[in-house]
Amino acid sequence: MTDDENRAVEKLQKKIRKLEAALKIVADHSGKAESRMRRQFEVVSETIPVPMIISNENDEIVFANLSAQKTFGHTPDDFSELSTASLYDHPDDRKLFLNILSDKGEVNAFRTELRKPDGSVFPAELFSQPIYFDVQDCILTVVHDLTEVMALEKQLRQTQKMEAIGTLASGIAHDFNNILAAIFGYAELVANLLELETDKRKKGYLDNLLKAASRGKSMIVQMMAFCRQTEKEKTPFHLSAIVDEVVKMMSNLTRSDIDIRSDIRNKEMIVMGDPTQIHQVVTNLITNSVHALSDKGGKIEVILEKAVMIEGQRGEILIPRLKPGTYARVTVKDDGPGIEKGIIHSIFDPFFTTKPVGQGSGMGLAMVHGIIQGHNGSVSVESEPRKGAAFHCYFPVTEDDDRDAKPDVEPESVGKGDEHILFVDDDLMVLEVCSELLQNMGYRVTSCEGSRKALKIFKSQPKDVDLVITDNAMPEMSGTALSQEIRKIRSDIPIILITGMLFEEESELKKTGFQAFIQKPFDQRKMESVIRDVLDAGKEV
Amino acid sequence: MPEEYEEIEDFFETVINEVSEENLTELILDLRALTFLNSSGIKTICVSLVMEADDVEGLRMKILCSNSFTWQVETIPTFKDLIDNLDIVFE
Ligand SMILES: Nc1ncnc2c1ncn2[C@@H]1O[C@H](COP(=O)(O)OP(=O)(O)OP(=O)(O)O)[C@@H](O)[C@H]1O
Ligand SMILES: [Mg+2]
Repeated sequence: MTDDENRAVEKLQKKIRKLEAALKIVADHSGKAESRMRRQFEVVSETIPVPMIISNENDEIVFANLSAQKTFGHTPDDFSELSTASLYDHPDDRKLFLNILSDKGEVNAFRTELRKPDGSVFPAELFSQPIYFDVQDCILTVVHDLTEVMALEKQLRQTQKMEAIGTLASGIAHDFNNILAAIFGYAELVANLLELETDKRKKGYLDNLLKAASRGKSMIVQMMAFCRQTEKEKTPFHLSAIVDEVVKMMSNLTRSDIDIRSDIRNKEMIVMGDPTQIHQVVTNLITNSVHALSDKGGKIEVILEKAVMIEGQRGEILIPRLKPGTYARVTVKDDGPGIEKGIIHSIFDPFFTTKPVGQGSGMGLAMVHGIIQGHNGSVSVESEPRKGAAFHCYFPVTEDDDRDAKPDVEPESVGKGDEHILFVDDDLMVLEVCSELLQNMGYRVTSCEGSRKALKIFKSQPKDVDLVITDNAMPEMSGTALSQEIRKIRSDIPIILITGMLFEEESELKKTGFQAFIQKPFDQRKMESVIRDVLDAGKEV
Repeated sequence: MPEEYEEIEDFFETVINEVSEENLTELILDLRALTFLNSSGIKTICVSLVMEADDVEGLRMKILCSNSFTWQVETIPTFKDLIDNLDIVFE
């Protein structure tokens, strides 16, 4: 070889070495870039809280991210043995899905139902794109679990429905209160005319009339509890005492082939609220179970236990949803016929009943729902046809101990008086009966059917009036507004408000500037004592 | 796709030709703003620029790089296997 040839060979060899080095540089570079990208994909897919599945053209699952593993309860190995079709509740949906994918090249928000290994099914939306993954043509599918969204939607619908019914019911309650006020009033007026000894029979009839009216009154109170217009003062009490009491009472009232038992697993739990209402809740639930068992007899169990709600807990759908925390749970469970799937979503609706016309109001569970919601709790139902039913009521527990319960003392008949009362109500019936009652107590009464006219009367003789009693809801001017006008004329005049609402909070009363309230429909004694108290308090000053 | 780099290859060729004709002594490649480069791009820089620059008598090459891009930190220093007179400046 010549020198030139040698040099040329050397040059070529050097070139080859450098090309080899360049090849290595490029290979290293792409190797690193590739593993970085793979890592990025892994980090993204493991971090997003959304199930992601990659399947190949044979329908085999080649990749499932952490969220998919959690949602479906499969390990990666389980997944590799599954076909995508097996994740669907309806295999036909898979075919439809693949058709859309091949037609459109992608799938956007495909609604379907997916199945977990335990057989449970959940609603979902699928999003999909073709993707090249691990050297094959694949499909990437992202699953949007709709369980939560649908539960929230349902809760919203339920709330709206309840609100609408609430408005309706409070309107009815208002008018009913006026009617009842008249019935009570006239009945008491008649009672006052009767001679105790000679008119025993008439007195008996009247008592029955008053009893019926009282039942009407308690229905109104219930209806208002449902509308949540009662803000009854809350007291702490032991839930176990209530459960015990109701179970005892209901056992005594129920035929012997229905066995009612309580199972109190935690005696100490204290709940804030209205024990009477909770009493009502448990009674309602047991009554429903008794009714469900009326054909064949059976067993009813009332369980009281502690339940801890953790963040993101699913399973039973609670209305409304609960914050994480500790709850007292009362379960009323029977082994009766259970509830059909088709109606289970309606049973808490007001007026929903499967009883024959005239037998059930369908307000039982609506009330249960309203009361529990008023206690910041939640209620759920678990039932399948022929497998009985269980209602779970959750109440937040408090640490406080039982406060001394204030007994609701019947006011004694107190002294009457001869002061001058200006009485204002737009309902003529109420106006008439009340003036009559007040006159019977000895008072001088000026009755007035409108707030404007009342104001005029007061203006003309402000010193002559000792007390104003006024209704609140009136068309011309509300009782609250009227009282403000009156106070401008004479600031020391005592005013009592008649109301259908329940203001029980002392603080609320103070805010409004009224000396007292009279609850509609009222009984004579209560009215007497409230009026006397207010008038006497005025004199002390 | 290698075709995408044909233009750049041509450009590099022009650069090298000019550098040798004018007897220039320094060639600077500024990569500081290049966020990403795929393997074809790396190949083009290696073969059409760096290796060719090594063949030009008396030429020093300088590459300006940025620390913020991992691919530059990992790959550019390995260019030293292709050329004797190379300065790599990171900032
Ligand atoms: N334990 C139960 N087992 C089976 N079905 C039940 C049970 N509890 C409630 N239901 C169903 O829910 C419906 C609604 O109950 P809800 O208490 O609201 O009204 P009701 O019992 O029909 O009427 P009311 O309570 O006014 O007498 C019932 O008609 C019944 O179909
Ligand atoms: Mg009922």
